[in-house]
Amino acid sequence: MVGFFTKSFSSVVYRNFFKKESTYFTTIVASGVGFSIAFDTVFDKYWNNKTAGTKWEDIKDRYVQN
Amino acid sequence: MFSRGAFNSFKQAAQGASKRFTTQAGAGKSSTYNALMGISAATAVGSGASLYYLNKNSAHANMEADGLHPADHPFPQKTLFGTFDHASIRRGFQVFKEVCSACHSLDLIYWRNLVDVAYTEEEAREMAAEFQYVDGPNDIGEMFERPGKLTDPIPRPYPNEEAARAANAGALPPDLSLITKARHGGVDYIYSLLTGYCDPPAGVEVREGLNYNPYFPGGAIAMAQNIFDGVVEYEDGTPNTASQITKDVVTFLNWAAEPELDERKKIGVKALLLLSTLTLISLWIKRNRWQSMKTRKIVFNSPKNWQNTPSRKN
Repeated sequence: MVGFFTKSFSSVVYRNFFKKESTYFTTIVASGVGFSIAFDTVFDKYWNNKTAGTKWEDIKDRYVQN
Repeated sequence: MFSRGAFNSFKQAAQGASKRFTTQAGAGKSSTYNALMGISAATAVGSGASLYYLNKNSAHANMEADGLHPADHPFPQKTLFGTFDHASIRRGFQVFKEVCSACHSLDLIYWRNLVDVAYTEEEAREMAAEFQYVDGPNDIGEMFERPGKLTDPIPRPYPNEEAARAANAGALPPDLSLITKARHGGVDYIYSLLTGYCDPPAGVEVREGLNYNPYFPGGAIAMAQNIFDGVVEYEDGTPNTASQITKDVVTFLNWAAEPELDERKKIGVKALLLLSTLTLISLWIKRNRWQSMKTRKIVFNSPKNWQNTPSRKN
């Protein structure tokens, strides 16, 4: 068979993840969750760096009494 | 302004001019068509520019009724991606409590709203407990007084509008919970108003009981100037000049009106990033999927060329 042994990355990915609807759906959801976690982590780090010193979390240590 | 019929006939005239004049010999460009287009473009741009200039530089005899336009102040939360300075919100609440709450209510803000924004939970509880609130009825049906809790609202100076007017010569000090959203000019206007008290210009009479303020529409405001240098002592050592005090209280009022601002702007930047990326991806995918259709060629195979086609039996 011609297509059976194709080892190119896109063919491998297609055969193993995109061909069956069940695996396709799982791939979509998993990559969505993964992207969401990764994007939020990176962005929150950037945003907290950008707003350093202005948020409540940055100044609350002056007022917390333990 | 342009009715649709007039617009259509103008369009047809221009297209007709284009068709008629492109058949002339020469470079193939029609000078009349170009002239028409140039004149329309110049008219559009010129009228737009004139209207904008007139809007910005208009003068009329009753400009005092609009109030002096406030200057553009560099509040950090005003910019597209800027957020609050929470230390300023804390100082601003102190100013509000010590100066403004004598006359102004803040009905939509509860003690719990301050927690983890400008005060710790313990601090907010302590501040709430300084005030007495009416609660009840108790088991025997009486209303009673108790110290404040986090779930209580910031206390009102007057129980109702009539009492407020009676104590302020007929004028009602407005509730300040939404004031920065409720006034044209927002934080700039409130800041300019509070720092803008001055003597009326020559010839302008302000009646007894009112104060001159050029930023207030009409020029005569019932509130006197309340913020001066040193009227509040800050616990964190910030210099208590009148402009600093005003800046802090305006920041606090902006937070009171828009407590979601920090979160909203953070989500907004995320949304802009994601949506613009997805848009670019979508555009690429669309052009990729349409490539085969947009570059196909349909060729007519004339019957003259059917020599080699096998003839049908019967």
